[in-house]
Amino acid sequence: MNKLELIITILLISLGTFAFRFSFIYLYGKFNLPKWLRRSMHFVPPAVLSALIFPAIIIKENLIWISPQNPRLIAGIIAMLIAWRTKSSILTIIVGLGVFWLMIFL
Amino acid sequence: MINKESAIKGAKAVAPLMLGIVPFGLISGITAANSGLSMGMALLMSVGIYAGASQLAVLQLVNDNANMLVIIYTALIINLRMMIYSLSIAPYLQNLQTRWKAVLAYSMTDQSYAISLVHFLNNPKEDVKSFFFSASISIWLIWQVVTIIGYMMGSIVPMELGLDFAIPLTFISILFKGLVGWPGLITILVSAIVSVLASQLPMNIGLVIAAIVGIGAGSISQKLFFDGGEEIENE
Repeated sequence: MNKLELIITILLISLGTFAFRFSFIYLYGKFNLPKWLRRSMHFVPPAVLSALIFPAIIIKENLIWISPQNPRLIAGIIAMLIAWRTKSSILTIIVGLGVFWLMIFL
Repeated sequence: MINKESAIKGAKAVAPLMLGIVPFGLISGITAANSGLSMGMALLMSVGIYAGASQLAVLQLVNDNANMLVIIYTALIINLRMMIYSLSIAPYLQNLQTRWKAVLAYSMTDQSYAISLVHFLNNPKEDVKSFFFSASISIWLIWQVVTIIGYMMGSIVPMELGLDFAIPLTFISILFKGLVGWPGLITILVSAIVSVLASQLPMNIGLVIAAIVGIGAGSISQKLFFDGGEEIENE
């Protein structure tokens, strides 16, 4: 891929990504959303966050790896417990990284 | 105009997440340098696309000499989730001018979106524009700066540190904020299972499928088992 192709690729992705971000923010009010859809919006953050988290801590090289040997899984579960009990972001990230590094370096 | 108090609240809400965003931005800059991109090209990516996971996917595909259309398609599928964000946060932004809507849409990230939406659900009187803008732009600034730093450091930072784990950690750290009881937990569980099972589907479409199934599971379980009437209408 030459430089021009790369620039075009990046610009097209930028444009598309902005279109996704802007889509409904721009269109809202120009049509009516059904009530059930509006109510379901409460569940967007937990659903998307969960779908981002679990493959990242369970999948390794295209395989499901559920084992106490998996440092991402163990550190992730401990971080989740802390996030749930304390609701502290900073504590969650520090302990999560700490456990993760302990597991890969010890 | 920007309400200072709300802006400070927004910046404070995302501040702890910088612990995860900084390492991820470094990785993004380092990877760009190691892929042979010029500094200008790396900046065009981080300012233009401004979505970390898709940027890393693009770099990997460029290294693999993938076809241009494949690269564009893959990046856009990864970013498709932004449409769901756009839909769910739209009601709070409806009274703003179009240029503000555009600015807020452009600067929205997973983290600033999730933090802000939950905050607006719990604080209906918040100055939405100031809070959301400040949350997003704080992350934007830090992201651009650390991307450049990462680019200049190149390969000094050892990849064995596994810094890519920092981003899932930022998501974990906000996962339970503003959770709506049992239906929220059901959402998390269903979405987790589907996302792992669907992770083998081509080019990250599994993420979007899992999110939609999870949202459906939460809504249906609330309707069937937990519905106390119309109490959480969000307008």
